[in-house]
Amino acid sequence: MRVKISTEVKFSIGLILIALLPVVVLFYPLHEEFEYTGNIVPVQELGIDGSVHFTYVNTGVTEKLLDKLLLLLAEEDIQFYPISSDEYEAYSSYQEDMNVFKEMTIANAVVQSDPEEADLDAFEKRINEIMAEASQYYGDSLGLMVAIGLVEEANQWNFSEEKSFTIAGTGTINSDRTIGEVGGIRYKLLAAEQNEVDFFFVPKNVDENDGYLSNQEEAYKVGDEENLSMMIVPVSNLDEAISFLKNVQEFNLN
Amino acid sequence: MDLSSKSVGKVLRIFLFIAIGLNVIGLFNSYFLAFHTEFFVQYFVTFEQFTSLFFTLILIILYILYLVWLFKVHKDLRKLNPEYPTTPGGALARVIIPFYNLYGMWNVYSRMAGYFEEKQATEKFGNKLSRYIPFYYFLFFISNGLNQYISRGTVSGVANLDKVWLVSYAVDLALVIFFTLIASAVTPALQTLAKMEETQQSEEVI
Repeated sequence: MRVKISTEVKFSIGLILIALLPVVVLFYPLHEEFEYTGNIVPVQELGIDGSVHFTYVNTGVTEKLLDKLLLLLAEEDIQFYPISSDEYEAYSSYQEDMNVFKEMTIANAVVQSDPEEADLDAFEKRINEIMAEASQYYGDSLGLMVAIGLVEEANQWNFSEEKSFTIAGTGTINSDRTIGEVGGIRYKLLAAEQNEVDFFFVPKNVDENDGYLSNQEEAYKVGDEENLSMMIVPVSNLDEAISFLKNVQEFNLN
Repeated sequence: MDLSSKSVGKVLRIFLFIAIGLNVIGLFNSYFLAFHTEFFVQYFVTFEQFTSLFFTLILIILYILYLVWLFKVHKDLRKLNPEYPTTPGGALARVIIPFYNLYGMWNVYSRMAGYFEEKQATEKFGNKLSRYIPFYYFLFFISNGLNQYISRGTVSGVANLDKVWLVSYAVDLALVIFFTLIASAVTPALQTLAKMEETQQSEEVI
């Protein structure tokens, strides 16, 4: 039996297809990692009685073309990096790993900020408190600034001289007090510049022959390109950072 | 007499039913967003984005079809009665122009209802239309207000828009249903008038 379709129905089907086509195109799978400027956050937001700030950038993975277009519309300065389907599949487990790294860097920060304290229960309690407050932040790059904040808290210091300076930075902290490299240096520096940061700590590492751009090298490069007004301070361990901040304090007093 | 609004009326009707379907889906989506947010985020986000984007494009087509239909309905009314007071262009102006449509929207449909009520054959359609107009009129402006509130709230980051979204979908659904009822009253009324016109002409020929 042959079904006769009226002109109106044919026309309607055509119009429905016209509406459906762009939607299908916009939902075409597109896996790209993106990164754009975040903000600086006082360590006080993590329940630490310190005056310094940690920095975050906004990162994630697009699932479809529409995600990319919406991000491009919403953010002026955003970068996309194509990723393979394997990398996309691994992304969620990578996020879970990052949570473990975050707990490790916070644990190191708590222990290294007051290494003479021997109460393991007190350490664990503090780590859990900071982890709970930091739950909305992804990654382990807050370690150094958490450690500086905890040093301020333990010694009742205030390195920002009651907000005369804005101090921010990025870097993980290891169990030997050394500072580890992180990602997103460019956008962290831009976020710091937007917030009129005076001193910005980055992990120290300069080896021009190793074939890759270290955090320190990238920070100086971005500083030149963007004509940043802050002082970029590379540090290789927690003591260097504390010593620098003490010198700034002394210089300011004199 | 051939009605110029007949074909577009049929297409409009198809799109109205599609819009009702998509609106019901949107209502379910916004219910889950408002009251079962975690479940929504886990299972419904992509589906909701797909359907709401498709719905938006369907609504744009529906709006164009509506304007064409309204224009042609008034063209038919003027053909049936050259004294009919609203011109096709005037009808469009009454529903499109902001603020003027506060008066115009009511005027267009109430005039049509009054015209149908004058004639015995189309009186019941006119009565139906008269009953639907107040609902359509108020729902139209409530829907516009809610949509503007949501747009501004989304841009400025107003919290708890989820429940407003749910109410907006419910109002939109009622609005589309009332418009479908309006179209369902206007089309047969015009067809009846066209038939009467044909009968009169053939009587004159005899």
